[in-house]
Amino acid sequence: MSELIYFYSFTLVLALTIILCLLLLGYINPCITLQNRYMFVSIAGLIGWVFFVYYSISHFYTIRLVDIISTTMFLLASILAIGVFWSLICWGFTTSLLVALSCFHYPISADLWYSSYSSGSTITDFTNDRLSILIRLGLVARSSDDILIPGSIFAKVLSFTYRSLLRIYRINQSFI
Amino acid sequence: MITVLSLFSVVTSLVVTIMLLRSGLHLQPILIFVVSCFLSSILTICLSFSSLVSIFDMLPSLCFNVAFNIFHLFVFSSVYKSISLKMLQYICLTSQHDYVTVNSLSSGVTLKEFSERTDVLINMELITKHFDAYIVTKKGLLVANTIKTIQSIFNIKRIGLYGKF
Repeated sequence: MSELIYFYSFTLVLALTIILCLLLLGYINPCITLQNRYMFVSIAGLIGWVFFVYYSISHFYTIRLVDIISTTMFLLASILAIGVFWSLICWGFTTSLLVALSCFHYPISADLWYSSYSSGSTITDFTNDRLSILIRLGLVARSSDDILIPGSIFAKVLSFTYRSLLRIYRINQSFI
Repeated sequence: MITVLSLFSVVTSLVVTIMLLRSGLHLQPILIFVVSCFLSSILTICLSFSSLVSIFDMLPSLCFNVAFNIFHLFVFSSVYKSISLKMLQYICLTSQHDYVTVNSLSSGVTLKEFSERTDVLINMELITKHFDAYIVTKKGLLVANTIKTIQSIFNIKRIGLYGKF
């Protein structure tokens, strides 16, 4: 039974180690992009997990399949939670806007505020920046005359799911 | 028994979360998820003890419960705030009857989002508006400094757009 305690404790420690590695990697290699830093740490954590599970299966005879599945789910969810935290402090729109405004000690216009947030870019640059993810995922396609259209049937399925979830959670969206 | 416990905890947290979200209470969504995860975990532990289930049969169901709540929070936060998803939705709905360009997307989604987030910051008393100009409040400065401290701990030099950093 102590083997099971060890197994569950290690999963928790590994999830916390991922945050520590995310921190250390920023000092070891400051040139690495923020996206790559998160990807690298997540993949390294998963590889470490696979080795640990392999070791546990061959040495701990009390480990059951349900323990492996539940702790794997827990680890994946932890990586996702770290990703949400990482995304919030790196690219969070509201947090970034607040940080940008805090650099000024006097009232500024909305245009100057936005310009400060996006390092001099325009609102169209911001739209293109967020759009780039949708285009990369194949959800949106850009025609030759710069008209934006849904990229695939998956985009329509995702849009329908999004609308259904808005109704379930009772969230109002003005443009729908 | 593990399956029953896992199903019980997951269904309980799902029901509690959706009920609280739909109730119209002015609570932070993250708080709702934490409360429902905590509540369903407590109920699962009580059910395990009352039916004399071993702690090692209870642990997987707690892991499933925490994992489910994090996945659910991820889905909810995407639906609630993601600008990319709002853009996709705008393109899918508007392209049925009109052309969508980057400019129309900017005015239809990005500018609205910008003013919506500004209102959120004003309602949270983190910034104030003087005529058409904005300035950060003392409370806002404290929050901004906390964010900056976290960023400096993680050695994050600059934040904002995906493409630039």
